Amino acid sequence: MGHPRPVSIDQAYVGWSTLARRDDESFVTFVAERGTALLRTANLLCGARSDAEDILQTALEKAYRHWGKLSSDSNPEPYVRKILVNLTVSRARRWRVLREVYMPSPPELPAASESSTVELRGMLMDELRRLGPRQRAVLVLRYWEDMSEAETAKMLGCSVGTVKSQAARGLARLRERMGTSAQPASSRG
Amino acid sequence: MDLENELRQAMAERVTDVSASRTLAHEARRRHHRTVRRRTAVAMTAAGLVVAVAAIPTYQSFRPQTVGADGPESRHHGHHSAGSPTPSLSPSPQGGRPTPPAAGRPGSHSPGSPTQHPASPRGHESILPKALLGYLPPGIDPAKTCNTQHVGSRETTTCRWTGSTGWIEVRLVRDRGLSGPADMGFAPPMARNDLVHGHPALRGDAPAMPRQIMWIERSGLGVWVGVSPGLSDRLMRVADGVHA
Repeated sequence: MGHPRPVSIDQAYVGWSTLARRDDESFVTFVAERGTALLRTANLLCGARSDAEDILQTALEKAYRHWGKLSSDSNPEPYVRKILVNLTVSRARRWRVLREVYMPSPPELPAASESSTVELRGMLMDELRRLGPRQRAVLVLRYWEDMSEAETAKMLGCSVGTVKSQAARGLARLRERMGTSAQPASSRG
Repeated sequence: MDLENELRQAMAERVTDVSASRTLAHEARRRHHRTVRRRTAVAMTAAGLVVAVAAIPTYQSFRPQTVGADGPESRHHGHHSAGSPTPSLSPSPQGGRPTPPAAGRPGSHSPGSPTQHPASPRGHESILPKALLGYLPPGIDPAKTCNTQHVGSRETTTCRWTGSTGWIEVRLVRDRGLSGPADMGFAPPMARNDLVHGHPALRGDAPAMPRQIMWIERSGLGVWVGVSPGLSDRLMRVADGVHA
């Protein structure tokens, strides 16, 4: 991805220290530079663009509230992204019951062919959206943000083992839903 | 199919055309200010409620100290009553011992007694400019029962307060013929001389009798104050607080 490698959240958030603080103008600059990347992450995390914009605005509002406490010489993006992920996960949990889609029979599996790659990816995204919020967050952070397992664990506030298991279960679920065409590359020799 | 790579490709395709609006930062700040305003309003409302809730007991605590009661003006508000007088205390005109009724029974007057009107905001109390009692001992309900009786040229207004600690009764006797406390006809035997508001008074503090004191407040107006035995030590304070 094109954005810089995030630094530690602890480094970004300095609290009421005497270090130089971020001002209002830096917030506008940050949002102008990183807003699109954050919106894309939000879009993948929650699956709907309108929800993504709303969640990102809420995340930015929360970040703005404490913007003055952030150190001016650190990257605030991990801090904002953590707010974003937490918001998405908690909101998805809150609305899971309402959003759960019940189907009388399993949806049709996509046909595996080279010509239907685009359609296959669309189905992949649909299946990603069906995963639980935490599992989806793990996959998005690991494969979209290219975060390591340790970074993902820190972002989600869980252990590395949890990230590993969640990622493995999420991918297995996707493979299961996508059928035989989605076998891991290693298993195909 | 390499699922991980396909997933990356699918994610990239999904968000290719997604871009943030230019007003994102402005919107975030606007939402922040709106939240701050809303929280401030909620906090001020909560503070107002707390103050209101705290003010009620405070008001209740000082309310008994400014007891509303019928003053001499009550007769100007149509609370006269006709018929034979039946005071709640029954002292003999010759100075016999009064017989106090049971405490806490403001309605103990006989059916033929004059009109009784418990003090309430609907009554004349709220429109009277001054209170009859300036001091009310703890445990006495500020609500009172009053009646006015006429016997010849004499008009007697009797007000009574009751409560868990006893009762207080105040009588205002209006008679042009009053020249001293004994003329009111309530003086008990063995009465002692005292002073109330600088006026000569007769005080009855014989055992087994309700403590009482009477004096002539001004020409044509006598005041009699009696308390239940449990409030004997508060008699003088109650008497000093009478605004007749």
